[in-house]
Amino acid sequence: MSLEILREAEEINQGYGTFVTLIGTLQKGTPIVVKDNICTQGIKTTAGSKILSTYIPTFDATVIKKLKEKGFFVLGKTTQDAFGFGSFSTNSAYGIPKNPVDKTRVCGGSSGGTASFISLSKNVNYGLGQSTGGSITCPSAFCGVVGLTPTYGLVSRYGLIDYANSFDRIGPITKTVKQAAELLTIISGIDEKDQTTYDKSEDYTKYLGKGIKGMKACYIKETFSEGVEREVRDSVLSAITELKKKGLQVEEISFADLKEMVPIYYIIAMAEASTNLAKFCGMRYGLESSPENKYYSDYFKELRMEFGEEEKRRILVGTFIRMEGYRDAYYTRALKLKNQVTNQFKKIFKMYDLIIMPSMPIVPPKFEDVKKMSPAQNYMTDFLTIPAALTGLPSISVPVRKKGLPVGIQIVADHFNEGKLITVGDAYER
Amino acid sequence: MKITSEIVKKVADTARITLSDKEIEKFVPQFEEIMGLFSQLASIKETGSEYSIKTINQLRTDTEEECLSQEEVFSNTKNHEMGFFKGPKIK
Repeated sequence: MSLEILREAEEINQGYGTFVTLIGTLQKGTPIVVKDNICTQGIKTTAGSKILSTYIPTFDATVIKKLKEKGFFVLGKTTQDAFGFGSFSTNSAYGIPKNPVDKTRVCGGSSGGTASFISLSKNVNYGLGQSTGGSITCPSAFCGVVGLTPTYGLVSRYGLIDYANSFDRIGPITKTVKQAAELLTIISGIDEKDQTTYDKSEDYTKYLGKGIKGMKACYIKETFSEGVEREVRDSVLSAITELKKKGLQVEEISFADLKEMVPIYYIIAMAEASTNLAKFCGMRYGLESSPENKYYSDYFKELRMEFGEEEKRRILVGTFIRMEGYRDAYYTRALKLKNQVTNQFKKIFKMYDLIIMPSMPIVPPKFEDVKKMSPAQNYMTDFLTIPAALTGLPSISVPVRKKGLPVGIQIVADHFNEGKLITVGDAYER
Repeated sequence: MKITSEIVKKVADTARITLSDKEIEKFVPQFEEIMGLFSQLASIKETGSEYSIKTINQLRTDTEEECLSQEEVFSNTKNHEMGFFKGPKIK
């Protein structure tokens, strides 16, 4: 690695707040930046939360181990919403990353630091993000880079600090679709340390440079109507026109109940988050105080005061919907509806290879506008990324706007059909 | 759903989260708005067509492997004594 890479990374970090930890020593290999909720041996891993401010993992996550074996080294750990709780990377205990195009605007979340850095760097092309409800797609769209969220189970979660285990996915954030395909080829595959992984890995670079003639896609008309900003709609529709010219067959379909998925998703996500965060009890993860002469509940309470506002809110709501008298109406029902929604999507994929929609309904908002949003309004901005998140489907976000604020097109495929996403994303880029 | 400060206090106590009076005041309307969003669940129709997810259970092979040294195990804590974690008392 040249000094130039280090110097550039430091400069970007100073201007845009992209790193929690930047490794300041020269190393050999290909640099990659990694979201700070992915464990890296000997490098502080905070998940963006104060409660992990001193945690130094003794091991590498499986994805990091695989990347190191292929000659990558970790250049830095990037800023994010604490535990992935946010859509704008503004819930971070370690500085808020800024949008690469306009510093007064957010870079999206929760993998914001990775997306902003990849967009700004001239030297670094590879980044790792992680998504629960759209945290790869959203910042990739807002920063004008490529974000690939693989099928749930394609990439090992071993060494990932959980938000919601049944949704969490690690995926590439890169400058091009080709780089995303290269990265996915390395990080995917079965892992005996993650019992939810599938043996479905492929060489995804073989899907590059293929034609899209004969592929059939649909776009959901509701994702271009109410609540979607005009400049987003126009940019994505003209990208669809481009794809049609290249041979993609595109039809319009209706999916009226799209926004209903937001409460289904958030109920499950918060229920899981509220139990996952219980492991940070002042033992084993760095931050602690003296347990002498203290009772467990008091000690636990004392340490949990270090959680930020959004962390507390999600723990409280997640606890509430699991309480006796509410659990069946919320959590259990949401699980049932999740399966119902998945079935609806599986039916669409019997007729089409791909579903196309905008990545986000809005262009990156200004920090001052995000501050005015209530938590529920904030959650609703995820309504386009939640369908793929809830159903475990793979998706790719590709930038579609050369000038002005970035906009992304989101392409969703059936489970384990990442190859189709790469083919169509790559065809669009050419 | 009507959310009161008593409900928020009760949930916070269950979750072992300490909230200041100011935080409770802030959380009550937010909690109510979030639960309003979640209550939409009641109006979603069940079609009876559930996708049955093929669950897998990928277990690791049961073989011996190198484990962490004691030094590594305790590297993230000062609270240890004679090879054990030192924790608070249990009521």
